[in-house]
Amino acid sequence: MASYIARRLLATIPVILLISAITFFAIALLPGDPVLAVLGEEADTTTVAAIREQLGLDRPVLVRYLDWIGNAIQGDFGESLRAGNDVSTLLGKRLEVTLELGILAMIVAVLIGIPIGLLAGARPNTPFDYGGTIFAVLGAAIPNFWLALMLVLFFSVRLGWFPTTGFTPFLDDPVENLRSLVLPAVAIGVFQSAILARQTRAALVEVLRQDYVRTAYAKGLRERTVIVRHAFRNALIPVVTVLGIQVSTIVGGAIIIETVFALPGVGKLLIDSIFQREVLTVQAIALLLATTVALANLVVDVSYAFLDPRIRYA
Amino acid sequence: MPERQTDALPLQITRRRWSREREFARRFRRRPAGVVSLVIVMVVLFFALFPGFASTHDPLAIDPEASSVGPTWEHWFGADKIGRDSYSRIVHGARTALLVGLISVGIGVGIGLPYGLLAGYLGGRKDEAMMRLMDALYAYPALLLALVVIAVLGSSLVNVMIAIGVVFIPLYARVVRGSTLSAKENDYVLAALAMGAGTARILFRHVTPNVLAPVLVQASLGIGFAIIAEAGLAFLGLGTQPPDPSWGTMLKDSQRFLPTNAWPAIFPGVTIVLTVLAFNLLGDVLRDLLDPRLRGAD
Repeated sequence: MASYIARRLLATIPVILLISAITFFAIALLPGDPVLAVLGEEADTTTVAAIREQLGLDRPVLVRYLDWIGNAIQGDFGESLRAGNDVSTLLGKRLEVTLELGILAMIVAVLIGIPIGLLAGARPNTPFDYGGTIFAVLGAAIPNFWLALMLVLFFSVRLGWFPTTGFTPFLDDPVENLRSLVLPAVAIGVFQSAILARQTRAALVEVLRQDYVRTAYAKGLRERTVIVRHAFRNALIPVVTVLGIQVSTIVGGAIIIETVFALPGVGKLLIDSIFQREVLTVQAIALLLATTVALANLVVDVSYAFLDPRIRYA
Repeated sequence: MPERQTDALPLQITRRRWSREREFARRFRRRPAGVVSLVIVMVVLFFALFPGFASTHDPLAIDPEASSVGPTWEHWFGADKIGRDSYSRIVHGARTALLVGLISVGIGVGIGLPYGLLAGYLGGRKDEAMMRLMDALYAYPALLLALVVIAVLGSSLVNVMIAIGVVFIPLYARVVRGSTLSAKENDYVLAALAMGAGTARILFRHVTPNVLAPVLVQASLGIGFAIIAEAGLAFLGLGTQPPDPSWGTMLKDSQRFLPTNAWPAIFPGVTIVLTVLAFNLLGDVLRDLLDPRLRGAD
């Protein structure tokens, strides 16, 4: 087990390094001068040169990359050109918002997707199954930002249950905090739950065909026991894979949904930074989010090993 | 596609090519989801090709008297705050949506297909190295990658197409590489090699036809994804700029007036959902029909 985890950990390092290289070189090598973007095209050449030197932009690109990645590992992403303070400080509080939103979205996805998938898979070709399939197909085609607007229209504007936009920190008021994040989490989570429902259904249908399930029935076990104790655990393996992939789409969802609901998270900061051409902030956020996804995939791979001993000993 | 079919069913070797296509059409017609999807795609395509003919108003014309009206005989889908006809704007937005869908998938296939072919065909360490790069790109969250590309290139419709296209490259490269690995083991590839055919000829004449079926399936699903991505980026203010109509900018404009007039938010959204649904279902049906392993499952 330990050697399996170690091997997966080692395999993740080159992926993260490649991700960091893509992030850095894409932004560093392509046209557009970050200093001119902030100061304006008519800026004084000596001022530009001074700032370039101060930021180290006059050094070779490979040196800058090594420097950047070295500092990033220590949590130092440089200084924001416009805001004038540390990018890491800028990120700190916003990361909490995005993390909370992401976790809530994942919970919504699991709470909706897995029961629907189980119900559809346990009763194939019944109205439960058709209903589940319609949910899965429709949920995958609804853009999260439009769903967000519809949720706001119904639950905020018509019913007044939740605020339309804005965010309350957890420590200020936990209940208000949750109220401000329910609609954003549902807007992100419905798409994920559609994918989850589809995968859960397919996995359960496959597992229910196995011999040991027939044996369990033959022993006289109740259907509930067979599905929950025998089938579900094995059906879970492909479902966990999907959960890992979902971290990636949840990150994408958070970027856009934070903007819809004006939540002060990393995603909103990313969009603002793109408009302001804050290169360092864009780089930092891109690296941070992409690395998070790579690490989430690592966690998924390791959790397989717990669920399926065959992988551990292979 | 055709070669794989003859692998599975040797009897069909004797049939002529047109009968295989007729067989495909017959199977397709039996799938109501596929037929309905195709009709929706055709309607959107018609909007995109002949927006002037399909629309009832000038999509940019401002009519203060129509400000925020709901659906009427005059304005089928209502009008926005400054009185622009929503139906006509949706019709004109179809061109942007389809153009982004087709061109970004084209970029993805155009680069991903040769890349995957080469990696799969070369095999060994070269394949390993080439695919690691694709893995890293693939590990990047799709929207984030698109945003990084836009951050670099700047916000314009062309750059949005490039950004979404870049997201697709690793997807098609992986699909094509996988199919190439099995296709290159076929006897006719060996025969071509023995006849002295070069790598390029083998790849494009003999291997490519075998990898097109999964690419076609992914392309249909990809267009659906691209349409959502384009609308999402436009919603964020990247890509299509006002006053040009795009389904995403229409939703963005509607957000401010949501409490007083919801119609401008409802119709473009339903349009996106129906269009994406159609491309997704079409992809599913094509997968069922083109993938011999799934034959007979329904």
